[in-house]
Amino acid sequence: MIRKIPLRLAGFVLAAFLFAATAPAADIPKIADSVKWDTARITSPESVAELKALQYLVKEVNKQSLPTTVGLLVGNGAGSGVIVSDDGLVLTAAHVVGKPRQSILFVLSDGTFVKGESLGINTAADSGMAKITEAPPKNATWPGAKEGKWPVAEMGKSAELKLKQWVVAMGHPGGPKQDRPPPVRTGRMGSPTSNTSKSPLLQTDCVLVGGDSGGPLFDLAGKVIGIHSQINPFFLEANMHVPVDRFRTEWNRLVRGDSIGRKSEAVLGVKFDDGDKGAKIAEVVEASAAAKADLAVGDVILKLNGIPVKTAVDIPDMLTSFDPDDKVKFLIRRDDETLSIEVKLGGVKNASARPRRNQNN
Amino acid sequence: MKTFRIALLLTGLVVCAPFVASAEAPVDKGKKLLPKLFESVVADASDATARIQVDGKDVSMGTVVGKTGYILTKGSELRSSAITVKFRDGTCYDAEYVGYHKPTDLALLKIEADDLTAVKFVAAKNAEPGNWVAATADSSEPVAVGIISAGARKLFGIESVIENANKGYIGIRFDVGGKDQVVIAELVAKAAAAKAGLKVGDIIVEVAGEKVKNRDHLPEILDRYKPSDRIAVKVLRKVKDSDETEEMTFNVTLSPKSAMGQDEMMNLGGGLLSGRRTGFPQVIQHDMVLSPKDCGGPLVDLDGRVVGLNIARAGRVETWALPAEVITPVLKELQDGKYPAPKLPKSTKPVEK
Repeated sequence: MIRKIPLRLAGFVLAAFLFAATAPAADIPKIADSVKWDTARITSPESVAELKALQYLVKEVNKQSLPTTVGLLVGNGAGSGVIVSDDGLVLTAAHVVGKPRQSILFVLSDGTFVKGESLGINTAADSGMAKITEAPPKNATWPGAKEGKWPVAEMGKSAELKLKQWVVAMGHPGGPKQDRPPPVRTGRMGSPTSNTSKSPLLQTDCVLVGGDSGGPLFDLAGKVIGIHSQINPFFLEANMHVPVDRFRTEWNRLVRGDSIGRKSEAVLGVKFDDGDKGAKIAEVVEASAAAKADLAVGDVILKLNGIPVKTAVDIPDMLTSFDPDDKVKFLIRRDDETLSIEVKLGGVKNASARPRRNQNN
Repeated sequence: MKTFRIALLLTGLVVCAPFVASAEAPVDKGKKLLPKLFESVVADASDATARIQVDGKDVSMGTVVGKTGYILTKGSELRSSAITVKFRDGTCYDAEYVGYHKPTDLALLKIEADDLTAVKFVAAKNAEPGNWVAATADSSEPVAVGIISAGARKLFGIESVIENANKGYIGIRFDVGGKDQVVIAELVAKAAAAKAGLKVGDIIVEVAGEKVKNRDHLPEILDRYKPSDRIAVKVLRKVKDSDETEEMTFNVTLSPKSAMGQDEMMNLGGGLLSGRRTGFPQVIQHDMVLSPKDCGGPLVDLDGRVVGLNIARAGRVETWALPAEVITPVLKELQDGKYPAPKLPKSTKPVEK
């Protein structure tokens, strides 16, 4: 049973961080001695030299991750995220963005705002994806900025993490704040845990708080290994992160904006040919949304809202993020013609949840 | 175990799903082994760190800033003039309260000594994010270690307001109307006043035996009480179907700030925070878990450099230190007598109820 708990920060002044601030450029001193820290080491440092070697790596990760760590303002909420592709894909938490196609204001680490929107989510796993839709700011200095490329944090493999390995957390605790780049924190891997839906989560003693949600957890090689999700407020050691591998398993669905696991009430009203490679309509339900929009038997659906449809199963998957009465645009092939058809989806809003997969869709 | 999703609402409400996590021991105590490693590099700073006590109770750390007996500490923790100072070599002194600067919360103390080890602060730019730092104490081992999270910055919005956030909260919003009358316009759900049975429309006339003069007077009275203190609140309540009012007295058990919202709860659940934790001119942020009574001492890096003075445990993820650029000019003004010390009682007796 899930009890709903409201979360609130009253009196936060939005206007306070509308001014761009400059991130201090930390000079990373080269370590003189030969002591090195193995990024996968699971024991505590045993000397000042070892602590300095560990410090060197944490500073490197912090420096690297400043341009890729972003704040997300979604409606009245604030969370964090990390850029993972040079065209601006951002990993975040599902509960930060709420649902697909929400407009988002991203806050870069120097306080600059850029626009974008949410893509797919998996509420049970608390994984979410978003995309920056603007070009990098003119004064951006990272490589490729002039060609419109965003800086990228490389994704690691959460399955390879070891208990007690040192890690680094970035994000915007308390929401993005004027004059403050995302604060860096360090800690170690704890035992994995799980939430009510039994979706496994990573646990660390990198301390997190409201606003950090969606922010990246890095290994000491600077690779994203998790996304901040939740905390137990009474234990500083209980900070939970969505494993980055979870994103990889559903990557395409997240990118195209599905609400993974959601039982949508929207009904299209078609049946597809089994075994057919494309999404070829085998039957149109009488008086359904599809019938009203003149979709016909034999039509092959090529795209839904501009996103390519490869197989018939893509259609119900993609419709998870839509509701009855939403309008969607299909690109179809009928005989030798390619047509664009808009469909107002059927179904009853707020009808009791029921499985959709086995029904005509 | 209840956990909370950690997105944040700027205004309004969001609904989040907590979950029951498997009750496994989260992380080993590896971080707790680290303070020992710092002993050699922070030795000088430890010599310049004093334990500050008021009425024999630990209230803060102090930072020696002049070999002739000048010590800076966190002023808001000094609640009486019975101030003593203790060093790690065991020496103890009575301290004179020289001056207090409210924006920085820095108090200057003076003891009768002439050959103390004093700290030398380095510029804020040396506090680079990622650097390991320690909070020294009146012991060889620091009380806590962590890393710099964010370099020196100014504070804005609610973080720039000076208040004692550890006071008792009553959970009332006032009506703007009514000149000298303090009329309850709104009750914070489940907070102190609502629980005690106060109602919207009640006129507050007396709190803890003191007549409430106006709306600004009430917070002043409450500032002297802690959460869970029980105080009597006398109100005038309109008698039903009549123009008369009747006098009624309620016993109100004051709430902590955490009763006011989920965000406060997330910040306060992990341990005590400093009462005065906002309104500083500039702060360096680090991730050390520092007890409020251990604030006021030096913040020292792995090269033994003193990069700041710990001024507040500010939240679940953060402790704040004042940078040299803020401390140095204020110290001079304090020594010049520009900011006199507040008049404090001779001891911190429990407040009469």
